[in-house]
Amino acid sequence: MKISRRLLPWLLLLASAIGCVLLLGRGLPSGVPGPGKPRESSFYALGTFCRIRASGPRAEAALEAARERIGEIDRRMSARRADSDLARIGARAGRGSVSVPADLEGLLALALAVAQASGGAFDPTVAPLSDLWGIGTERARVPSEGEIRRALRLVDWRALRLTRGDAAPRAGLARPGMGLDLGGIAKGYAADEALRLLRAGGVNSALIDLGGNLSVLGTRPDGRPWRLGVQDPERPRGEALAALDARDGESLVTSGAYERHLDTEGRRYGHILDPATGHPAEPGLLSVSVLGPRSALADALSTALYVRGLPGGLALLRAFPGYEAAFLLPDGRLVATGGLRARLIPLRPGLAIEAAPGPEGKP
Amino acid sequence: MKGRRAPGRFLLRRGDRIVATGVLLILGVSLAASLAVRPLLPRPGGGGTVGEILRDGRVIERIPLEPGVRVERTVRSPGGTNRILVEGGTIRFVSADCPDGDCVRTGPLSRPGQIALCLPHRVEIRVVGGPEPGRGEKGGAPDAVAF
Repeated sequence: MKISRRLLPWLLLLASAIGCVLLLGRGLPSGVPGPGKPRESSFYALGTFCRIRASGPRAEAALEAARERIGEIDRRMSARRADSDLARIGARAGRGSVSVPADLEGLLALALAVAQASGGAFDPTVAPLSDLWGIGTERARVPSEGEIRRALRLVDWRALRLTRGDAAPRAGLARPGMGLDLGGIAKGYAADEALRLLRAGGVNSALIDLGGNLSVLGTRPDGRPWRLGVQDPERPRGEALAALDARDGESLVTSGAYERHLDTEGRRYGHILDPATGHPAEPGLLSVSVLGPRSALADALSTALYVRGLPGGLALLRAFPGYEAAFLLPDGRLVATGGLRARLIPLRPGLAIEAAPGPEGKP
Repeated sequence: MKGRRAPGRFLLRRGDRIVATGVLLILGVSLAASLAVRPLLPRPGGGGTVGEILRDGRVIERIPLEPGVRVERTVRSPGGTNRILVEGGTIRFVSADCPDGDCVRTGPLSRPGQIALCLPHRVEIRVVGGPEPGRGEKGGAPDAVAF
């Protein structure tokens, strides 16, 4: 039969209706349309697995720059590599100083500031002690008390001298046999550098994860805040007991003994050593998480707070305004400073988040 | 029935009315059917969870973690060998010749975000995908976890 022209509008209606129905069935496209789709770079560096997600007009190039910088930091500031800047400083220990690039000098200065503020709980000169225990390597063993005593004589942040003059900066260790170990601050520093390069590269949304050391830039591509979690030590890696929605530029770093340890003769020896005793720190904590604007500082503080424990750690934290911490206790309580407590979302069923006591002893 | 088109008027003939009814019927049925089927369709981004195997930071294989899927993989890397098993909706390392064996001890993974790592061999397994839990609710899954 001939289709009359009056039919045309109905056919058009049918066609568009089918179109709508198909769209509905398939689902609407997710995410906000924006310049460039999210990109991801995963690689091994700093002795761990690193993953950076970034979105923005030139995200690919910025990711490449960040990855290269992290590789460079790994090479130059690694205690493990014989050709690193750190190794050069150690080789001259007791005999003089060596010239160091400005970025390393700045990082050493920050490390010294945390060492001083924490009374040595965080100590960048802990290398002779950490090498002795070797926790995290195949050489890991329980050293004798004599060995520990001898190593402790070589651990002293006051013996690290930095000079910044008209000439290139220099760093030196006062006694032969001393060495530098920046393991407690290097990942945070690398995260800060990656963030700087991503921002400079025009990236407007990024999540940096360097072996669990987290930093965020902007929000997720869909506009919601990046949600950062605190590892639940009783669950597989990647499962959090609590989380918070991070703001632009914030970094979250956790220190705990559950990740790396030596298990022998029925005992567990954590990898975070107490420079005062020469033994693994036993603060009565499962972990400490620090939230703040500078990842290098958050990293160093998380180590220092873990060694100091509660309540000493709270006094240390007060010296660094803008930095918050959450202490996970063996009985399952999470004790957090005010700003962090307000933002933490419990994920583990039954998790109790308590306010840390203030200077007067009251929350 | 006589239908005469008057200029400017949109009068339907009987034949047209049948077609129009047919159109609306098709429309209605299609709409109902697509809405009914919608929950079953794969959403953009994937509906089910997927296990991923990575070597040196690169995904070398993706395996759906669905019941009935059982897959064994041997991953060789410069450091050594890892054997990975996908079964019962989980993925795990079953054996590895690395020094510490942490990867095997991690056990089976099944939820998005979980990862197990063989650092010495630079081999990783992880779970991705799945419907995103509601965000802004207490159950919202983190984008990354500090450890």
